[in-house]
Amino acid sequence: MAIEENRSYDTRAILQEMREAYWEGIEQSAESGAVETRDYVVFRLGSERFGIPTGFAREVLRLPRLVKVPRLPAHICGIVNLRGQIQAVTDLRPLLGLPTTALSARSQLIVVEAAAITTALVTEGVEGIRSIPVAEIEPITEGLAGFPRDAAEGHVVTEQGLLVLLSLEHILGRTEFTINQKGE
Amino acid sequence: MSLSRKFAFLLAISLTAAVAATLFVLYEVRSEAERQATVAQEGRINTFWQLLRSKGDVFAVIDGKLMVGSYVANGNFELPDLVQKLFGGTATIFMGDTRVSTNVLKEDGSRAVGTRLTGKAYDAIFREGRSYRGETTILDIPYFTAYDPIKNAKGEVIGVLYVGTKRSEFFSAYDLLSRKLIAVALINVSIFTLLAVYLVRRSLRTLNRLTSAVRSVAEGDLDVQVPVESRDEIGVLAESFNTMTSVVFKGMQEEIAKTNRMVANIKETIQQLSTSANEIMAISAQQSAGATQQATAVQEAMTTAEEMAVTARQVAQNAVQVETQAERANAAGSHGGTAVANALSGMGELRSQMLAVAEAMLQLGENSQKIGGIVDIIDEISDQTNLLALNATIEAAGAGEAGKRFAVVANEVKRLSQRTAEATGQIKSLIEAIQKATNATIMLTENGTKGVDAANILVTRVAEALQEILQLIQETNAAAKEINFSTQQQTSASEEMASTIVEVRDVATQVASGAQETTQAIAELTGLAERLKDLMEDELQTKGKAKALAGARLMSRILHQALTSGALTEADLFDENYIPIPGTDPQKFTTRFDAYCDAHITAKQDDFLNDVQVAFAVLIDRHGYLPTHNSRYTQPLTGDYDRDLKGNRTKRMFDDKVGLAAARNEEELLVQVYNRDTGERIWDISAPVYINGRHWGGFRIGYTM
Repeated sequence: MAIEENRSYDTRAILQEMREAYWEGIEQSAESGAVETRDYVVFRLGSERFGIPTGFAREVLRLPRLVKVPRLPAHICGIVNLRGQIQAVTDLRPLLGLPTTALSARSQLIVVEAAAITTALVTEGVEGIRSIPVAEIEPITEGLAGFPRDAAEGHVVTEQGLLVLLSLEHILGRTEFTINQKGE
Repeated sequence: MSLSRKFAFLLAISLTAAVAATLFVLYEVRSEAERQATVAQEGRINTFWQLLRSKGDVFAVIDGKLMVGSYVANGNFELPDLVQKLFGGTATIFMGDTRVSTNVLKEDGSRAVGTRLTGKAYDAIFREGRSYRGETTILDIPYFTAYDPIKNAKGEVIGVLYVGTKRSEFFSAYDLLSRKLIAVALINVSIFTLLAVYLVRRSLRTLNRLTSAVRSVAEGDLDVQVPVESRDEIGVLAESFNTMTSVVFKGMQEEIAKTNRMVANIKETIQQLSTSANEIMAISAQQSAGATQQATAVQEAMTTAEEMAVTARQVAQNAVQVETQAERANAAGSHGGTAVANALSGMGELRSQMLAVAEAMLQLGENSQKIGGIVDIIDEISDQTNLLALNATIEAAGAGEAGKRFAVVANEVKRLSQRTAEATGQIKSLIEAIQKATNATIMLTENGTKGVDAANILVTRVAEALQEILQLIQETNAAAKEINFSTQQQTSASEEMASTIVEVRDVATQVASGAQETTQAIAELTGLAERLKDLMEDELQTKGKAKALAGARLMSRILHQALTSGALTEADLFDENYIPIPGTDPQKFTTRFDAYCDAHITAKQDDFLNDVQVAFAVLIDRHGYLPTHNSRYTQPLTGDYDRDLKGNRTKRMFDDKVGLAAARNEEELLVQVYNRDTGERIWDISAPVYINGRHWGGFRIGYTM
């Protein structure tokens, strides 16, 4: 009985919150543009949080059934058929020096296009799109071990923790991808 | 003062008295003679006067001459010579104080005319004018004299008339008589004295012998006789003394024998007494111990009986309590039976209700699972919506400024889908909670059903048990009653037992106290025996001391006799050159005095052994040398060492600790006590022996009970 009472109380609070948020969203959209921001697609990978500029993202997908291709480097974990187009699925974890674990059903793919390469990045879940004020972005410091410094634009501290902003052009512009492209 | 001295004194006094009487008589005679002489002078001077007056009546001095009438006196010696012729003696006529006519001659033979009168006579005549009578010394010769004054017509003293007789002439007969008397007296005295001395000595010789005999009796030598030399009182005394010593000696020996027997009897009696007392003591001690044990046992029994009585009383009390409790339990058991029956019916109802609840719960579980399926569908819709919104946002971002409004819409869609997802999450967790709760409830109801079943069985059993308990309680009640009854009997029995035990205890206590009294009485008896023994020992010591002293005196006397009789010199007697006698083992020695001892002291020493308590009585010198042992220890030598060691102990050196102590002792007495290896106790009593004040050795006497 006590549990149900709590629930009913929570429900009422949530409803109240939802109504307030609705009105707030309408007011906020009117006020936006005061601060220069950049949009990033935020995702989780290897228990870290990363962001890539929204401009590079094309689409977010549920992880489909991957087709394994033999003799591919470690960071290519397979290929996927996307509306008739074959896309390579890139796993950034080996490149970023993160531990590689098995992907779950909740994993999602972000289709990106940068440095003239289109590929699907494996994530452990996309949080959403986040507007980050430019002023809050800090350059990466020496403290991040096992992480290639030129792979990141910088990082920002959010309420959920540290968010590393990846330089997708730089990552995809690396020789591994170039050779691969030539081989294609 | 000795008798002979007394006699001498008496003799001297009587002789002195006789001499004094003689002298007194002589003195009286002499005094009478003197008076007679004086009277004679009176007669003579009267005669002289008559002769002178026959010449004339008138006396005068004319021309320096004394005239009697016409008769001239000067140089006329007629009258003095006439007087001499008539009476003898001297006569003189003085003119004044000068002799004018005299028959007194000087030393040269001439008449002593012209000499003067001096002395008392002169004083009497010329100073006082009276006559003088008495002794006068004339020309250094004593005279009996008479002087008369010659007076003239006027009464003046003109001269003196004198007559006198030489004292020696007058006393010659008297002197002769006295000399004869004295001579006779001296002779008498001498004869008397000699006779007296002889007689007294003769009489006293026997007396002296008696004295020494009595002294030796005093020293313990009873067997002495004195030779009877006279029939006088002293002779009679000596004879009586001889009779007395022989009677006393005999009596003494009998007495000693009697005493010995008595002492032996007493000793034996004491030993018997001691033994018996000890036996009785042991028995009494046993009895006492037994009584004590008995008392203890009785005490224990009594305690036990009392404890038993107490226990029985407690048991009785408990039994009563048990009875009460049993009755209560019975009542409670009846109540319990009713309650159990109620419980059984209640549990049946409970069971059916629980089964109904379980049914309802299963229904609830199924329904909530269906709700879960529906929620999953909603979730999937929400997820896809969210993805759509995300892609829409990306698309909008790709469209630039034109896509901005679209992006806002997409964002709202996304938020809604997220809300939906949250809500479905909550529904899921609720459903899970419901399912958990229903499952738990079902489990509980199943368990409850089982529990009710078990309870049912248990209650049934309880009902059965209660029935049994009730039966047991009833039995207990009956048993408690029986116990109560029997414990009451037990209590009275144990009380009786206790009183019996008390009687037994009293008897045992009496026995114990009786035994104690016996013990005490025996202890007193033993004490008396001990005291008697002590007394005997004291008596023994006293006797021993007296005997030792007497023996020492006797030995001293005998050794001294050796000196006086000339048998030994003092050097012989104090000989310290102990010459070993060859062929003796243990070693014996000889000296210059031991032969004399053998001859003179053996019998005297043996006399001491008439007393059976005397083990030995011997003389030893100051080094412990034993010249002559008692006959008992002077058996002939056999050559057998062990036999000779005990049988012949004479002439050996006994310089062991006790022996030396006795030999060197110069105190009046030395008492040493030791135990022989036979267990006999020996009182070794010794007294020193002196010869002429020099320590010679000692007399040892050994006493035993």
